[in-house]
Amino acid sequence: MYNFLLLWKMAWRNLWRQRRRSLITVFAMSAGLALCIPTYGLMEGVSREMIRGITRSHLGHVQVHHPDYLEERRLELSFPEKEASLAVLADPAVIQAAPRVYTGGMVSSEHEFEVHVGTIGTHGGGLQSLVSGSLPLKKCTALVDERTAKRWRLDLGSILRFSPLPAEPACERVEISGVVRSDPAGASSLLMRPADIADLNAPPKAKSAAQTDPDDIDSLEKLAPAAPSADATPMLAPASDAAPDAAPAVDAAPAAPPPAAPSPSPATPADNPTTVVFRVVRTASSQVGIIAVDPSRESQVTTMVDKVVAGTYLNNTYRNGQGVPQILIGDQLARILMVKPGDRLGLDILTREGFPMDEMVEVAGMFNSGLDSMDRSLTFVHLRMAWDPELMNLVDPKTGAPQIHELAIRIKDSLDNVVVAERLQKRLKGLHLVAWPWQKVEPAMASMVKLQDASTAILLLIIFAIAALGTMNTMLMSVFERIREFGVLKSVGMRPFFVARLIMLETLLMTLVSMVVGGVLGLGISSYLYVYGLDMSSLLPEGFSYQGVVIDPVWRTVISVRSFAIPLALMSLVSLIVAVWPAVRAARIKPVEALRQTGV
Amino acid sequence: MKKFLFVTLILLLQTTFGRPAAAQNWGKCPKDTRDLVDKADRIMFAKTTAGKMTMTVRKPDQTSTMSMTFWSSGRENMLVRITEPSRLKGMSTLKVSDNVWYYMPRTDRIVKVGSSMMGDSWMGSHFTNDDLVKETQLYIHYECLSRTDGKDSITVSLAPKPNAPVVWGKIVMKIRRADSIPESAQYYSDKGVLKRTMTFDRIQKMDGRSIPTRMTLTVAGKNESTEVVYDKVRFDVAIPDRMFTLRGLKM
Repeated sequence: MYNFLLLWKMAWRNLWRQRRRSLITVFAMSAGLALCIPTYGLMEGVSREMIRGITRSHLGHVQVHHPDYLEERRLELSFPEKEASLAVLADPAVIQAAPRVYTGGMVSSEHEFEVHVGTIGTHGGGLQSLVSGSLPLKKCTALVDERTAKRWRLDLGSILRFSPLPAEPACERVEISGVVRSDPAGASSLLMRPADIADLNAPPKAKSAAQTDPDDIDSLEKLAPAAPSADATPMLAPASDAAPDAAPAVDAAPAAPPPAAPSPSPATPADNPTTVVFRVVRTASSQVGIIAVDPSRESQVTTMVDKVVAGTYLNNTYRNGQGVPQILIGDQLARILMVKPGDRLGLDILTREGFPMDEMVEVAGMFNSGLDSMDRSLTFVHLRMAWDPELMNLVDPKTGAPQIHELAIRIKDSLDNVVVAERLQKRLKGLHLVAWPWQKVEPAMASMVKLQDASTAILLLIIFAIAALGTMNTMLMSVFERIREFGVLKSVGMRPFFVARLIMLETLLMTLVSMVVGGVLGLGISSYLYVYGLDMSSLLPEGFSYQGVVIDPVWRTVISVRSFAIPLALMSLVSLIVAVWPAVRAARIKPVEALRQTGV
Repeated sequence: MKKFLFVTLILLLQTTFGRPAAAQNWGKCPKDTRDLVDKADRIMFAKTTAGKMTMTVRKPDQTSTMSMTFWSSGRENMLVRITEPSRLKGMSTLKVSDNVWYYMPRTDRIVKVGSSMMGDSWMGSHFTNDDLVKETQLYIHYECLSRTDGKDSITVSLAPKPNAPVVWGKIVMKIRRADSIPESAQYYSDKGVLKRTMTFDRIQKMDGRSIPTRMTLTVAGKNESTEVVYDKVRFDVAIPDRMFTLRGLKM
């Protein structure tokens, strides 16, 4: 006991005896700590921000599925929504669970506009005005003027359909074979071959009474057994010639009123070869993934609402007002389809049984997720559409209970999610469902976060190493400077172990002081970074985004017990370890040799 | 002299049987195999066909049945219109050479099936849109690998010719000896894994021809199948050309 107190006294005095050196050491250690604490906090902040970005963009902290769903993604691998939601929401750690249904389908937009249809020769310079492509050589091909092509994004090979469909044998659709310079004064124009135009302008023929209804299979007449041909196509040409009501016969009786249909403008008679106005339809379509969500529950779990760049998020009610369901599409898809919020789209949604059912939908808004492939091919609709018996009909075939493919769950503390997932797994046992933490659902994202954590560890290690080397250096110096002193101590009877302990204690005292000083400094820097953040936007002007996970360019620290405890504990441990060598050196000093040296 | 004759004989034999062997044989099988396979392949083929069929799709937890009317002309054109159930009534599929369109009656729209969707299921069945479009003619794109003659049937395995634009790596067909009616066909991937099996049965006379009126497609390794039953088929009837246009599709 006496020895112990003596040791403390001596250590304390020694430190004050070498005031400058002690201060330098304390300063080095404090500086190291003051750097480590905010660095650790900052990296944990980025890591948390990453997790937040990953889980809040779409994943959620925990996901519930049919055991085989993630692997096979088949539509039938669904489960009843009600039971699963009840079981999950009963857990106190769960904030909200968002039900989802995944399916595929196609969205298409139709744009109808007027074109002046003329023959190739009627337009300006003919061949010279061709900008790209070639003359319409085949049947049902056409040239389009540059302005129209630009306005409706027509390209070589694009298809325009006449609306309404003209009568036989005129072209129903024309393929764009080339683009010509626009007529400065003229309206949109479509230039076709004279023969095709003649067909288009021909008045529709009256339906012949003799014509049989092809739907009535039994009444179809047998083909003449003659003209045996080996294969395929040759059937076409003879058949149209053989049709009893060939075109010329009808042309001779122009009295037949054109019944309602195609609209060669009355102002331009059919025999005028210049231009006639027709309406054409430009269809743009895209195959998409469809996610049916419950808008109110979804917005409590994910932040898709914040990514809406035009229009609004989905309405909470399925069919609002006029009964047209809404759809939320990516901004890239909107560009492809040439639509804006409020426009109508045709949606073909794959049903539970696997065939497409169609519905007109209204674009509620457009999102930008930061991930191009998502913005191009992902759409969101109301969950009720998935349960609509007229549409996707994802209900239990026997009981009619609504079903879903996924429950995305948000919990209170994102770092708890593995534990919560295990707990939910137990709750869902009876339903034969699995609850996975997001790390298991998206291992790639999880390893990204792990990589981030590893780089934090390396950074901290470097800072500690520098601080530790500084500490070791000062301690060694103090040993060398005090060789004579130790020699005297040993010659008056101090045991080597006592000397070693003395050095260790000196280090410990300095470490304790540094911990207080460094801790206070670290807290100060951390608080500053917590409030104001570290703006990295000058380094990353585009913001930092990976796989659609956007990370705020202003990095903020996390101030937690962990972000203090770990650097402090590591620092004291490292300082004590590096003090071992100087302590051993001092303990081994031989009194005779030490006294012979001329000390300071 | 005798030796000379013998040599001449050998030469003669070689010229008659050796050289034209390529023309006589089809792959590694006798010449008539080719006609046999072609006949089986074209059992339903006519200049035009029209009829009614019922398709039943069986999946582990659901079975759906739909009735449809179909018209086809050669290998190029086909139109199928669903008549039952009422939920799908009027939904039609038009195929003209490589293109497929759907007509969606609820919204009165024509939808062209894009190339990325060609591999997708057709109307929830185990057939794909590609199955409608592809015009593989066995005797053109395939070569015979082996032939086993049984008592009532002949089993022929076919491999695609080099660079043939086909999907399957091997097809094993079982054909009835008496009338060249196919009994089954097994389709293997190019890695030699059995992917699906088609069986043909319920042979009946329809419009003067004996045809298998039931066709069942089973997916290997799954308890799922698609069954097509021809309720009525008429061959070589006059089908107006307008059937195979968008007008016909929308009608």
